[in-house]
Amino acid sequence: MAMNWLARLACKAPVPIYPAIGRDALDQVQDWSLDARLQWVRSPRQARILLVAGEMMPDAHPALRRIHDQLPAPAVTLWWRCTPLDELADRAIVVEDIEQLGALACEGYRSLLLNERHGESPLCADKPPAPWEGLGEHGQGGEGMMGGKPYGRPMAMTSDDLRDGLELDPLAFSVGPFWPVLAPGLSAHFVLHGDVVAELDITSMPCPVELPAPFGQALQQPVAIADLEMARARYHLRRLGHSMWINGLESASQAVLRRIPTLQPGDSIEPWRRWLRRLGFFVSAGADKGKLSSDQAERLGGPAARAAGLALDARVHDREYRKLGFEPICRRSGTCRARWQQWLDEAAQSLNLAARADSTGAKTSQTELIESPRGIVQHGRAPEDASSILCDLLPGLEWSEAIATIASLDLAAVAEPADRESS
Amino acid sequence: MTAALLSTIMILATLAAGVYAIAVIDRVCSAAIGTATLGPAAAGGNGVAAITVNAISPNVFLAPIHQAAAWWLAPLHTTEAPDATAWRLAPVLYLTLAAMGLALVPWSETFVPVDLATGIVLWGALEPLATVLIFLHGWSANAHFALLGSYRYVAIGLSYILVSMFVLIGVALPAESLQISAVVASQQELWNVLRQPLGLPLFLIVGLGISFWGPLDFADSSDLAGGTSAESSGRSLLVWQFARMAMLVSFSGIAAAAFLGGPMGPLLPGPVWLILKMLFILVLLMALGRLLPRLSPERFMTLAWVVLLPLAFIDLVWAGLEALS
Repeated sequence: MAMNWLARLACKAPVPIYPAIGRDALDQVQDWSLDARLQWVRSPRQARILLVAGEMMPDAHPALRRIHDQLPAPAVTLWWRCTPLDELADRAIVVEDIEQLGALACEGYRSLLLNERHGESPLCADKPPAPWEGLGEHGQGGEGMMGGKPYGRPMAMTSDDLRDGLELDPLAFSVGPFWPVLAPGLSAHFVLHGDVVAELDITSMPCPVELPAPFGQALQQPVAIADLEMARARYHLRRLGHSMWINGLESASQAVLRRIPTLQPGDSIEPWRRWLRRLGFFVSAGADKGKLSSDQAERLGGPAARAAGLALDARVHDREYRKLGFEPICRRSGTCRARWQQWLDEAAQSLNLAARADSTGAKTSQTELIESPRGIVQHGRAPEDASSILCDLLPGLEWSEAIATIASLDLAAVAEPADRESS
Repeated sequence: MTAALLSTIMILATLAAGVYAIAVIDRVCSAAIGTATLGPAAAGGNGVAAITVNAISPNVFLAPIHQAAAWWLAPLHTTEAPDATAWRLAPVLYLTLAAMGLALVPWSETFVPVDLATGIVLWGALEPLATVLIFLHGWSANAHFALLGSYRYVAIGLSYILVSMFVLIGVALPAESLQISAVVASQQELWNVLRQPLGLPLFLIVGLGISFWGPLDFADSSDLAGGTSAESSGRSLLVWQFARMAMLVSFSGIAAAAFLGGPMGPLLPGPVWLILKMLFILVLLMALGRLLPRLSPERFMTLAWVVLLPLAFIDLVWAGLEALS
């Protein structure tokens, strides 16, 4: 009885849920993360429900199985816009419409708590990922006492330090591809000294992103500039919200995400900027790091390039934009702070442009070359994946600065709208 | 015997009530920040926005209890080869430190659970011990994020603890004693918050540090998927979070005694004044925790050594001159 009473209390708590996000699902999952019935936990260990959202390539399946098993049993998996893994197909809870997410998650959670549903069985064998490779009689060491690779992991040995001469054990581990701090699909192998990144390998690239619908249409036909600019402002502010979340402004970031869908042309976001400046967001972790060279900036394009001083913007070629008085905004430093400010500036500019275009009903005048929030897109040529620049950018940064830098860059390739129609 | 029992009950009850108060205040702060700074949340309109506003609005007064029940019933997770004893024990020991700290706080002129002649020194010893336990919690889990969180915490630990030492010596000077009840008594004419205006603001930073809260959350932050508690779940997580808030309660008691005259105040009885002052400190800390972003550890360390520590020296010199005059 006592258990039942406790379980009923626990049912009223928000459902601890962890998202494993695949292709083209991030924005909607982010929107629905505001549902008060759900609590998006930072570590799969603290979740009872796994949400698998968006299309998963077969090469992501091993990682998906691992993340599934990282939830302490018993747990329930919800599937949205993706085919359940074969092992789980018979008991899969498929979310048809994302509006049902909250209700289904609550139901799954409740059934777990009241023991009406058994958890799913683990998908990976419970054994070390690699055998203990040692030469000694107890499996220790390679040569002598040192060396060897216990369970595929290098022994703790000091190595040359990057920073102050204090030699530390390198710590090697992988993160991703389902870590909400990174872009969906991005996984990387880090070697850290203390908390300083020494080496980085990108082991899988972020999933290509679909641009918001107006940008796809803009490549086919003239579209209303107001729609295009509103979509751009929302895109940039979403990224800003994510960076705020990473640097510890969790409630404020939620407030930003909540406000985004209701933005109207002509709204002012000046109070946001003032407020972020006063609280010190522009000096928070990583603000003066992650400086892009001009090559890197050119490769990335979009707001990241403009924040590093390159005035690359396809909108200047569009006469309708010129009529509206459009001029690209540029910053010089190319650091994380510059990119945060760039997002704010460009979002404010877009809201303004949208208001002006709304009153005249202006439409884009060219379809072969458009400026997407991720950079210039033209027929047959969309921005490509740029995640490899992290390998040059991150070594030498502290962990929090490295993570803030990753969050400030939009690295995923853009899926060409044509792809979408054919697939 | 009865007095000891009464003290113990008093301390445990205060910790529990304090933790509950923190959980409520933090939720209120979180909700207030959204509406106060970015305008009202969208009502109606878009489906997503509507559901956030109209969803069974979680009652802030019951939410902490629901959350605790959820953690209590959640399955316990273990890692591949943890130092199991240390991992389970660290949250409990951290909670014990919080209880020890709270025991030093005087509730009235006559009722002080533990009135040590060296109370300030004991509190000063609890701060580095907390660092040890936070490190133990992260290290013993045997996982990379937990280890990184504890590395980072140890790296910044000394920089805020030093500030705390100087600020507390500052309040001991006018009292000419290291006894916390004497520090309270020395504020009969003027509270230390006015007598040493730098003291309380500097000490608040210590409070955020010792409970790794808000801008000083280097141990359990989002960029480490929860840091030292990234591998914790269920009851273990419940005790850890409880202990962390209990440490804040304990800190608020010490801060109220050292700077706000503890139980002193007109009309109302002493314990009521103390509780009001502790709540005031907690509201300040929760608001700071929600409002300020996290600096990088290196930048915070620079700030602590280059700005905060010299300010703590000035505070001490100020206190010394004031005591001489």
